[in-house]
Order: sequence, then structure tokens, then C-alpha cells
Amino acid sequence: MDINQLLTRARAGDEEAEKALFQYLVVRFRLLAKRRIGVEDSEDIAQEACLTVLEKYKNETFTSGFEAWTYGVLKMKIGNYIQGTLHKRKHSVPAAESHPKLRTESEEPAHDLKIALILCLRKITKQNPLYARVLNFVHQGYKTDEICQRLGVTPNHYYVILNRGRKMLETCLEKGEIS
Amino acid sequence: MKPVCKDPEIGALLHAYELHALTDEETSRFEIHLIACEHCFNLVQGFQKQAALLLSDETVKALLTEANPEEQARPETVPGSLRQYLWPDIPLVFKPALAYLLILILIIPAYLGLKRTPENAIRTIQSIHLTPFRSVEENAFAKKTGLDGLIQFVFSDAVPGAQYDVRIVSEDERIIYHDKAFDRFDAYGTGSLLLPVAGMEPGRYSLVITDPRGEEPSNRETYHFSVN
Repeated sequence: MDINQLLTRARAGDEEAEKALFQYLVVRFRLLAKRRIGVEDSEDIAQEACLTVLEKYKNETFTSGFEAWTYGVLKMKIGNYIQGTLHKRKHSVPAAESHPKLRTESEEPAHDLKIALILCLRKITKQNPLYARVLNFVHQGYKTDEICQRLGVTPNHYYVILNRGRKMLETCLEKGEIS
Repeated sequence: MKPVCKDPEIGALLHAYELHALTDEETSRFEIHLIACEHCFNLVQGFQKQAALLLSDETVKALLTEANPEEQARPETVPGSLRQYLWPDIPLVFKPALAYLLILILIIPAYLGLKRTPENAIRTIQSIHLTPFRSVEENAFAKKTGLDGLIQFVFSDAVPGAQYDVRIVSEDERIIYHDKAFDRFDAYGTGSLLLPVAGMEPGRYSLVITDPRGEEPSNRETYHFSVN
């Protein structure tokens, strides 16, 4: 279901649509929050942001779109969380043990996946050395414009290289070989 | 029906987003797109573990470094270093060092101009103030300073604008200064003269003010001062 259709129905008083809107947003917010603050508190932040959206969406005017507005709400919640965490870290003793890490990835990827990924990367390195080179640059900490300069490509071409490599990787992980 | 990307132009940033290779602005654009685009959201969600491995796994890193032995690590930039602060990687017009330089170029001449003008325009002088009353203070100019001397004197009942005879006479009766139409008395009867002290001989001098309209000897006031 499209987010704007859900919004229109929910604004018209459809409770099912409002529930679906909440479900729609919470999974997305969780993903975005997890990327910024780690797994531990991403669920809480996502729920909080969704509640704020549901409280205000009926009376709000969205100048740059509903999704941009909801994103602003989420970013504000994440900002408050980070500030609160930093404040706690500053004022609590011992600080190192009492606060959660800002970026954690507690879900360890499966061992099998790791092996499969490495095998696929070996294959891709031979068939698509440009992707391997780009990945290496990313690992070395180069920024997009620096990578583009070193490769002599435009940013658009750079994104194409990345997406081609990703597709190869996905196919390889799925089928065990690069078609 | 399989969803398709709502905006392929932004959707193209997908893998760069997964690899944390976008700028903050691009990240925001892509994340707003993610909220609305089912297709990209599913892709990002389904690739989270792979992306985490690609980004942070040491074996993956080693494999990529091995595959690209000629690529050197990006030179470390010290965050907050003075050079980076003064000359960051931004368009030339926004570089702070350039701004400081331009401000200095503009300020220095203005500062020097302001500093020099009063020095040139106003010369230091030495002054004495002669009153009809006795004073313990010796009315003397110091010749060795090389400064001009301002002599201020009072002539009782002087009328501002009226003309008086003012002369300075040396001990040996030489007239050093003579103005038959001195009219620079203020409302309090005070007049002033600027003397080139450096060019005067050391000795005692008399300042004689005469009202040509009055009767002698009450129309005259005499003061004495010296140049040492």
C-alpha cells in the first residue's frame, strides 16, 4: 500500500488505515534508527517517533511531503536520544559501562553468510575488479568525490558501478555463482 | 506484483547508502525516499547483514586489500588541525585563511591611517599660563625640548573681538613679537600666543598687553616669563 493512500484514508477517519500507517512507518523508522544508534534503543525511538507522527499528522501541513515530515520527526527523536546519551555519559560514573554505544551491531551475521560472502567476493574480484576496487576505497575511508577522481568517473557512473557489483553479489549469494 | 523504485534517480544511491558512502545531505534524501519507496526499503532491509559484513568484517577487508595491492590507504587527516581549519576542502571563496588574509589586507592600512593622522595633525606643545596673580610656579619654557610654546595670558576687562597691542620684549629691549591688532581674547579675557621657543635665545622676556583706547598706565598689563 502506498504511504500517501494510507495517509489520505487515515486522515478521513479510517482506523484500519491509521493502524496500517503506524505499522508501515514503524518498520522503516526502526531500520533508519538502527543505522544511527544501534539495535538496543532503535525500537523505542521508532515507537516514539511513530506516536508523535500519529498525534500530529491530522492537523499538520506537509510543505515538502508527508514522508519528509515524518523523517524530520524521526531525526529529531534520534537527535534528542544522542544528546541525552552524551549528557548521561558526561554526568554518570563510571561512564563507560552505563551508556549504550551509539552505533552497535549486536546482531552478528551468521557464519555461513560470512563464508558465502567471502567466496562470492573472490569471484567478483576476478570478474568485476572495479567493484572490488571501489569497495577497497570505501574501506580505506575515501569519500565519493575522491573515489570518482581516482577512478576518473562521474558520481552517477560510480553509483552504477556500485549497484552492478551489488547485483552480482546478491545473485552469487542466492545461486552460488555469478551468471 | 513486485514493487518498483519510485524515483530511480535517488534509488541509484542504494548501495552507496548501504556502504555509508553518501554525504549527510544525500543520506537524508535517500532515507526520505526509503520511507516512501517499498522497493528500495525491501532491498536495504534484505541486505543489512551483508552490508554490515562488507563494511566491517576484517576478512573482507583483507581480501579487498589483497585484491588491490597497488591502492594505498587514504592519508589520515587530523580532525580539527589548524591547517584543516584554515584551508578545508571547500570552494576557494569559503576558505577561512583567505578570509583572514583579506580582512588583514583591509584592516592594516585603515589602522595605520588612523594611527598616523593624529600624529601628523597634532603636534605636542609646552604651555604656560600667565595670570595677574603671583604664583610660585616659574613661568618658563624649556628650549631643549624643541617644542613650540603656547603662552596663555589674562587681560582684565578685555572685550572679545576688540583690538589690543601685544608685544614680547627681551631683556635687552629687543621686540621679539609685536601685534598691534591682537583680537583673540575670549569672554573671560584670556588670549593665547604660540611661540617658536626653539628659535628663541635663553633669557627672560616680558609680555606687554596694551589697550590703545585706555588711559596710561592703567591700560597696560605686563607679564614675565623665561626661556631656559
